[in-house]
Amino acid sequence: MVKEESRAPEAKVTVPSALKNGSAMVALSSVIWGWGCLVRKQFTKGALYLASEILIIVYMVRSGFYNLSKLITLGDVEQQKVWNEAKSLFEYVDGDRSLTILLYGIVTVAALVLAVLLARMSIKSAYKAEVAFRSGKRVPDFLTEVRDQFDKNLHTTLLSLPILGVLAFTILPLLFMTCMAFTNYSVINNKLVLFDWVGLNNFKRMLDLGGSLGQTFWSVLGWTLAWAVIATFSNYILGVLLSVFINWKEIRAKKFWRFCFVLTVAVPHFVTLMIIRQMLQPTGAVNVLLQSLGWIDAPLPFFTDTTWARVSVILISIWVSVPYVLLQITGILQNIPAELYESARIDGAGPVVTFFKITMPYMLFVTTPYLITSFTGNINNFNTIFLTSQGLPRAVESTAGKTDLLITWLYKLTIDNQYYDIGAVIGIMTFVSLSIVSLLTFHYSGSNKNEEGFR
Amino acid sequence: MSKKVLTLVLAFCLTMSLFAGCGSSAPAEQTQAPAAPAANETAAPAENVEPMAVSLKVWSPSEDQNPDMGAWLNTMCEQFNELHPEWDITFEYGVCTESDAKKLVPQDVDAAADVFIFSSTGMENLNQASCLAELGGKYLETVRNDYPESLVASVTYEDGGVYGVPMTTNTYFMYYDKSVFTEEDVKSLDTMLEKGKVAYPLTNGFYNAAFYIGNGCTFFGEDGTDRASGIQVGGEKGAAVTNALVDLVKNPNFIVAEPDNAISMMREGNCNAYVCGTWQAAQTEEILGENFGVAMLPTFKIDGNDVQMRPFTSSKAIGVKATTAYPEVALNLAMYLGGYESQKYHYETRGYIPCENQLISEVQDDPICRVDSQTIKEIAMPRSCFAEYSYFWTPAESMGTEIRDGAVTHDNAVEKTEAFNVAVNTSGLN
Repeated sequence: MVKEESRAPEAKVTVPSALKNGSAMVALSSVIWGWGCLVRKQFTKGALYLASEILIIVYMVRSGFYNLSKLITLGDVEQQKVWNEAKSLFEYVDGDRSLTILLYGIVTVAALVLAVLLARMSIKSAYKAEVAFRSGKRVPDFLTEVRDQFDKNLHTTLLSLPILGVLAFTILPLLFMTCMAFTNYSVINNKLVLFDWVGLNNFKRMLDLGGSLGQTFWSVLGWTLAWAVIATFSNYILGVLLSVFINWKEIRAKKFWRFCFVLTVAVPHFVTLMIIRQMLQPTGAVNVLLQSLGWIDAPLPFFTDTTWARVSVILISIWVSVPYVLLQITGILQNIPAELYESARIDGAGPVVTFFKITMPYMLFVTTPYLITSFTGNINNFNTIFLTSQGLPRAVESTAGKTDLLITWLYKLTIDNQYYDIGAVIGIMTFVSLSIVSLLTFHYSGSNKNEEGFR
Repeated sequence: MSKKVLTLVLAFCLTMSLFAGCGSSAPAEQTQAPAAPAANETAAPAENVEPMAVSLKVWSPSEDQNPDMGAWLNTMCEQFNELHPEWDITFEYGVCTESDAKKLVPQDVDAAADVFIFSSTGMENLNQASCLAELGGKYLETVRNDYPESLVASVTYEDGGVYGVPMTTNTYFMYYDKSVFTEEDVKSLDTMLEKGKVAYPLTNGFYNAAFYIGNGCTFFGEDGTDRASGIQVGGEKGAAVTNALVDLVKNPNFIVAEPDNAISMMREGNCNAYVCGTWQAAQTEEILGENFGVAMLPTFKIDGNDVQMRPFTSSKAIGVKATTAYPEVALNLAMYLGGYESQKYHYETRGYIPCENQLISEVQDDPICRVDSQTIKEIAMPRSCFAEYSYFWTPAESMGTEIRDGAVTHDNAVEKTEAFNVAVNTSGLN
């Protein structure tokens, strides 16, 4: 009986309910963290909370408030120089650098968010301690709670480290880069050292079909989506056909055929793609060979004519990706229950009908998540485009080539030209278009609707 | 109970030892610097007599630090250290090519080198990020006296200040096989194409501008200092060049290839002349041996008239970081690295053409140095450091590629040239 009662306080505690049901001690815990714990004799825990509050306050006073104030204007103090006659040289005092101000500002905002979270935790701990105290149960001391973390609450302990890692090394840098999209950090107009907030200006320019940026963006986006769809499906279908073909009972030496096709995986992508690029140049191996054989007069425009370039890039993608698909699909094929095929054969179905009625539906059902991942990967398929066609052919008036994806265009604009603000916007737009398509597809796919069963 | 106490104490010690790693760490070199000579004890009036421990970060291309190629940077820095007993300098070397300096130094100024080599065309980028220290007083005087005017002009910024110590020139010329072409032949591109194969990097804006500038197109005015006039490659002059190029690429002896491909072709015998700066001179000489010839860029024909091709010229200079901790030492090091001894060693080990007045007169026997001086004096077009130059490269590459691939024909040459003219003056992101 006693155990049932003591289980009750372990139910979900929310901050509003804690503040409502708790005494003044709990309310005070929101301002002085750990107060509620200290009052209930949870000395270590309370001391830890108090220490963290002091640390955060010290940080805010020493640099936090300064960082936040600078964040609004992103700095405007320029470098100062003073002539030193005795040494015959100029002495420089550094001015503001907007990039560091942005970085420190975001870190300070993160610290504030952490402060809010700790305050909430403090209130909840105070409430839990109070409830335990009032119900006459012994208030858990520090060592008991630590032991619990490795026993009953192991899930929170194990998850906390990865979550912290993701927050610190993925979310925070991502936030930093995303903020650049709302500034004019670029080599244009000398905005590399001191830049300003421009709000949604860059986005407006990007989506505006009237300007050169907008036109380039929409055409590159169109090609990126078309490429992703064509590349993904062509790889998939050819991979499926190939593995089904090899898997036929009549084919001998299955392992040998599979080995042959998978051999291309042994050579690193990078090397394969660069060699292919060299081979398909106007003065490359393929053209030289065909010309010396007399089959063609002028070099074939592999990367110099728009349609040729696009088709070449898709074919290269097939060459590079089909082995992976082959590996995946073979495993799934061998998993299809043989009874299905047996009953189909008894009913008199030929290989083509079997393929369309049994193999394909099963395959599609199992590999829909893989297809979505593959589609996502192809939207950002930097290597296959950058290392082969390099985005060419490119018209003289455009900054993006005809085979440029959003990501290769982004690379050119940021690394080569230093237009960082536009690059950040392109990154965000890529993410938006990618997530819309992925979410829609996954929502409507069979895998989502019927996770457990097939058919 | 005592076991628990022991565990807690051990855990505490472990945690404290983790924090020992934090905290400001002065460079280890300073604390381990050997004892300064006795002169240290006497209080000297001016700071540059007091010996002190100095730590300098220096950047240069990797070849300058390669022991197989003479390790120019390391050698010179050690010599500098010996010449100045009043400073005890510890060098930290890093790799950064001259063209990357304009991007890498502003990226993280605090971590950037105190002394680095930069291309004079990146000076505006560096100055906009306030990375370069201006030369004044005795340093400025030395630079003005010891180097030719064109070099000093290349390191002078719009505000009149001189921001670097000139180290070498940066232009390009033609390397040719003497057994195929005579000295008269190499004066005209058309004559050359009748006799042998010529490789030219038409898809590279650095090189294809030579055609346009030759015919009168301007890059920021006649002398490259008028920012407002922008890049003018359009109009009749530009269209005439484009038409001439369209015909040129149809010539089977005219090969469009970058210098690094051209030299392999030369090795195989598929190319008899190509265009490049000094950086491939030694290899070319190795391949051609006695038949090694070097000359200024030739003329080419537009509507039957000979037009002289005009290359860009700029310089490479040694810069000092504005916010360096040791401005005096860094400035002196920069002056030394650009001085007589240093340029001489650079010339001997890497063939960098000297630009110090006294040294220039000593190397006139070398055909490459002669051609370089001649090019700069007679035909080259100074390339200033304006940031607007960055708009030029991508459209120039596209234009060269479209001409090579036949996308530009006589029918659309005028329109394409106008489009080219528009593109080179904007970022393309409006």
